[in-house]
Amino acid sequence: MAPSPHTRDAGVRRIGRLTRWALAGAVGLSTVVSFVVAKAQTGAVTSRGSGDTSRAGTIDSQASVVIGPSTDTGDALQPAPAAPARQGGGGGARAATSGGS
Amino acid sequence: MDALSRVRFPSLGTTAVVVTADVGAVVPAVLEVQREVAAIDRACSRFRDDSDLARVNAGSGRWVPVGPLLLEAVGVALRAARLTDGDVDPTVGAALIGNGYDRDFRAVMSDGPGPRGRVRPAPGWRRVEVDLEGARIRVPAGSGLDLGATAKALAADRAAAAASRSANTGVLVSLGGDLAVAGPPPRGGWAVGIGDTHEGAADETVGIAAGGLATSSTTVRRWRIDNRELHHIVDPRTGAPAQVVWRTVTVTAASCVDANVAATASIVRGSSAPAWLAGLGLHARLVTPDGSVVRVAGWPQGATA
Repeated sequence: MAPSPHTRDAGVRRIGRLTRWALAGAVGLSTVVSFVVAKAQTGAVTSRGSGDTSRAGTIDSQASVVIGPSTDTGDALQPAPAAPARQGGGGGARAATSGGS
Repeated sequence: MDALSRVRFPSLGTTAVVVTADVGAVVPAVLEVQREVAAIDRACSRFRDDSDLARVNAGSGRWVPVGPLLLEAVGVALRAARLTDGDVDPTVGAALIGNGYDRDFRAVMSDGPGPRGRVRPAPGWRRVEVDLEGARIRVPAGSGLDLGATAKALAADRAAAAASRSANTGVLVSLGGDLAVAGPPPRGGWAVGIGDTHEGAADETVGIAAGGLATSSTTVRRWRIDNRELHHIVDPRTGAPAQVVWRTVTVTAASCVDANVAATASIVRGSSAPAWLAGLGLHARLVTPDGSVVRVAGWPQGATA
């Protein structure tokens, strides 16, 4: 038996609603995935033992690692304020010797 | 040059030297240094079963509660790894053991190295997890941390600062040749000899006034296993001792930690090290196996011991 126009219109409306929900879901899922990826790339999601995610201290920008402000003192190895000065002979005046140990 | 007061004592499997610019200040300075060094040893030693680090390594794969000093030391080691693109990586612990360096080096020398295991690349510093709020650390299962490239230098930095504050004078602290200075230097600066070993003859003498100076060398901590000669500076990418392009690298920096990190990274980095050091403005002296010297970023030319 052919469906009545009323039944067909109701089916079309139902399909429309489902399509809108599916689109909204896809957009929402995409947003969540993008957020997680962005956070992971900047190291802002910190893995904790119980599997929860939370923020603690300053997070290293390239690792799943939390590093506190006191331990991360800059973005480069820091040079000495001045180059070492040439010293003359006289080993007895040396304070110490640096070499492998 | 001012009269200096100087004390030497065994420490961290090597020799500590404490020098003060004020002769009467050496005793409080030494006490402060010994306190700092003992704390670092309790927290960071790979060779003490009761250290925080040994517990982290024994509990690999699980979160292990640790004290604030190991948290700081591991933070310093991870920063070193990040700033050297992984050339200095604390996850080389298992690689060192696999190469036979499984005990304090004096024991390795007296009793022989441990059995050679499978040499694998280090798992990588990015896999170390540190929870500052919970004061705990987790390393990948089957791996282990070694803080040899940073903990002794961190101890020198902390000890020099603490000793200078306590003794109210300029202080130099050397822990096996990793040097840090704090407070006002003597006139002319702290004269420091530079050589392949911190207890051998110096090839040059330079003066420093602030920060730190450190030397990494492949001529020390060497051993033989399976008819192969190995040294203690591991390339994290292979798990094997780094190829010897430089036998010794000395660097000065704003801290002993940064100096030692740069020196060790240069050994691993090999032929590209001078350009890397120059780009960072780090004053350095690199010695090839045949004794040729390369000076970087204003390291004084031709200074002699």
